[in-house]
Amino acid sequence: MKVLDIKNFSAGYGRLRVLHNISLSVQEGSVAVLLGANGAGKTTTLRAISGLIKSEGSVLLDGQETRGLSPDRIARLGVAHAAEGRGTFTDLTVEDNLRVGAFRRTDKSEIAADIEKMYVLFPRLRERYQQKAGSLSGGEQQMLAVGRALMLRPRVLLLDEPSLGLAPVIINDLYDTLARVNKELRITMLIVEQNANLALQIADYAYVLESGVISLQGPAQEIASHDGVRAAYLGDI
Amino acid sequence: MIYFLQQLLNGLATGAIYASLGLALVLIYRTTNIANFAQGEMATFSAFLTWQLTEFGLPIGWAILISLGLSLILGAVTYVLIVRPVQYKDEMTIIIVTLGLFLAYNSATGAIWGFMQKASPSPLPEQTWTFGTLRIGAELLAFVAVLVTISVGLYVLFQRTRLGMALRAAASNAQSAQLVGIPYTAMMTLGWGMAAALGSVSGALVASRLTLDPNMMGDVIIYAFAAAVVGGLSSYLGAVVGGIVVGVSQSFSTAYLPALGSDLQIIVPLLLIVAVLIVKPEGLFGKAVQVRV
Amino acid sequence: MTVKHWLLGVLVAILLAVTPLIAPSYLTFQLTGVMAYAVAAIGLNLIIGYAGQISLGHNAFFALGAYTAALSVAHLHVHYVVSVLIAAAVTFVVGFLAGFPAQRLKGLYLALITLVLAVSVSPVIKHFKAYTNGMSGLAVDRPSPPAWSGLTQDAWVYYVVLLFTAVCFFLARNFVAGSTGRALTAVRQAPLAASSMGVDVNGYKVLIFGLGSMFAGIGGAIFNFSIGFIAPDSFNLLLSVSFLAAIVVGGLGTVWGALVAGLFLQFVPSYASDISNALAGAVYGGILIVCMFFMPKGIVGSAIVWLRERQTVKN
Repeated sequence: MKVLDIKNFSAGYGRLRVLHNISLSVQEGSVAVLLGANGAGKTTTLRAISGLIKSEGSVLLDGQETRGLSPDRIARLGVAHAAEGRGTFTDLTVEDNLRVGAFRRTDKSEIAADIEKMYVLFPRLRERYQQKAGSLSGGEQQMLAVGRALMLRPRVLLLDEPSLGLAPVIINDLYDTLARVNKELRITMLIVEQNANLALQIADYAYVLESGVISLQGPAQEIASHDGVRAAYLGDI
Repeated sequence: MIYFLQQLLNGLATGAIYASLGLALVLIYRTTNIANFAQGEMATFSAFLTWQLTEFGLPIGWAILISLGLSLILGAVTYVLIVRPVQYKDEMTIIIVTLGLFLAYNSATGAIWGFMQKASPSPLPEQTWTFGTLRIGAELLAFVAVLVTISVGLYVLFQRTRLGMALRAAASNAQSAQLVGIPYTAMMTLGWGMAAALGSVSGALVASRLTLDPNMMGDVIIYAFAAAVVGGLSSYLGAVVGGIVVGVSQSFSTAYLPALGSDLQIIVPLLLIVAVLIVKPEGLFGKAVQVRV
Repeated sequence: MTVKHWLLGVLVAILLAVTPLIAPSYLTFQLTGVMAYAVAAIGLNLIIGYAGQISLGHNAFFALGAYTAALSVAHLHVHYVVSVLIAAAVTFVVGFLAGFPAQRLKGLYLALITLVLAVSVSPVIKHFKAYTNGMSGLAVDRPSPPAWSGLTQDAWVYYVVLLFTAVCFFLARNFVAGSTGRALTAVRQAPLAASSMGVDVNGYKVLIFGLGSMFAGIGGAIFNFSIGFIAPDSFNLLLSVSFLAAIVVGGLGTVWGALVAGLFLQFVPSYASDISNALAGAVYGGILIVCMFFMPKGIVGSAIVWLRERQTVKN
């Protein structure tokens, strides 16, 4: 069943229309990847889904229309968005960052258990649990952003270019963890990436966004072996 | 020596007033990134509200409490109607709007209650304890008690409650706060409401000491800003320390530098702010803001 | 400038020139006040509108200019024109020196410090009452018309002030036009970029603070002439905020906005207290707030934008 079902979706900034009537969906428990060059509209897509910018069309979350709702409402309904630039609360400690992810939950013992789970997934965070998030490295902040998003126990996790600005070794680490999160915790994901090698490796389905339109879509394997895609996004000529 | 201690204690009491208003300033600055020039005038309005309630027959203690609640609502409404529409515009616009609020509140107080001074009933007993030549009034104890209560209250709120965490998160990163489900506008409205309530406490302290006058907080706001600036406008501890420093330095300069005269008293916080900002622009307790190019 | 602009300019100039001869003397008197305020407003406009620095202490320099001029006439027995020049020099130097710490401060902190400056004016004046006569204020001899002119005193004062105002307008106009103006815009809009292109951002800020304060000082000195009496209470915080309100309404970053500001400062306070004595402050406050909501560029600024849009539509 589709956790996220988006139809005829358009969005933009003021008079500038960036997305033109796109449709995409994400099956429960799967990882979908949205590929595209700079300026194609990938970040816009995620921001529109989580309600940060105005949009038109339909976004169904577990069959419920969320388009037009406020961002905090959409978050409470189960959409966790790890925005580009990490968006960690730099003034709060690592643990508080995780804790605030569970803001809308009331099950105290479960929250504590989940924080423990995050420390298991991201051991570096446990080491730094009392440090201000602003003092963490880029890779650690990305893990914290993912951890915080997971604390929502979301229906779907939106990740905006999680590999941006990170060293290759860290990126590998990150995607290994994301794969584990998907397999073990059964978290549905929609990942946006520009250079998409690793993302495609853990994905089930992929979309290619060009100039605000979905130009290609299919199972991740197919897309990964598509010549045009390889040339443009995977660094093969 | 006793004289020195006496001045110190007097300064402590005055400092408590500045610190409490300074805390309100820091609260608003942290939640909405705005320096509210009108905070003092809003506090004056609250003090007059309290007076009005006593005129209606309420005992002073109740009047102060109810006024606290009314001030919270007033602060929230002010935020929603006047501040929110311009909150993300440039700094100049925001400063001009808060100055407009300053004038409006000051004027409203005068228009409603007149510009004549009024005697305000004090909630404090007239008691003074003497130790040799050292005099400790009930006022000093009460003021310090109030400051300590507010400080502890704020600390508990921010560090130990879910609401406090939400407020801190909203102040730290508005977008991320929304993305974890925090109703971000409500948080900021609450921030303004709470600051107004804090201001009303400060107003009550001032009113208990002097007569009520629409311009009574005119100098206090300057001192409160001096206090807050010591903390870089974003540290609560800084505002408390700053308030005490300003109060004590004012007390000492009156005592030991009579040449300055009562007119030039206000130079003291001026020099203090200038000195702090030149040496450490982010305040003694503040963090350096890195300008991202 | 097109022919239309030229004609308009000439018309205005003629109107300005003959006003004291045809208008009732109280109007002449009021217009003199308008000009004095306008000159000061030019200064504040330079500081806030062109250099992007927030100064709430403009009243201090206005007062400094007024008292310097008054005292130099009273004690140094100089000609009134010279007194204005002395006032200009003094306020320029003080403003320039004040500009050094000022440029180090981020907008808000600058506003705070200048706020303290604004509040200190009255106490300082009262403190030095040996010179300034403190609370009671200082009476000043208004310039007397020379016998050959046949003008009334109000008219003569008007022309003197008009001369100074015109000179100031031209000075300001020339300063902001051309390469200095471009540098100023860069300083205001993108200080980091400007500085990386070699514009001495801090140097400009200090200079503008000095110039802006100088204009305030000149304004204060010629304000002297128009009223003939100065007292500490006319230079309080409300004056500073009024200046701010006035140039915001007039239009930040426009030289003509200062003229609107002058009109605002001369006429609005009396209308406001006509409505209600207490509510004068509320009127100012309300105007400030409403202006920021709907017309952040002020009257002249919005007019310029509107005119430009009409131009582009035509083309």
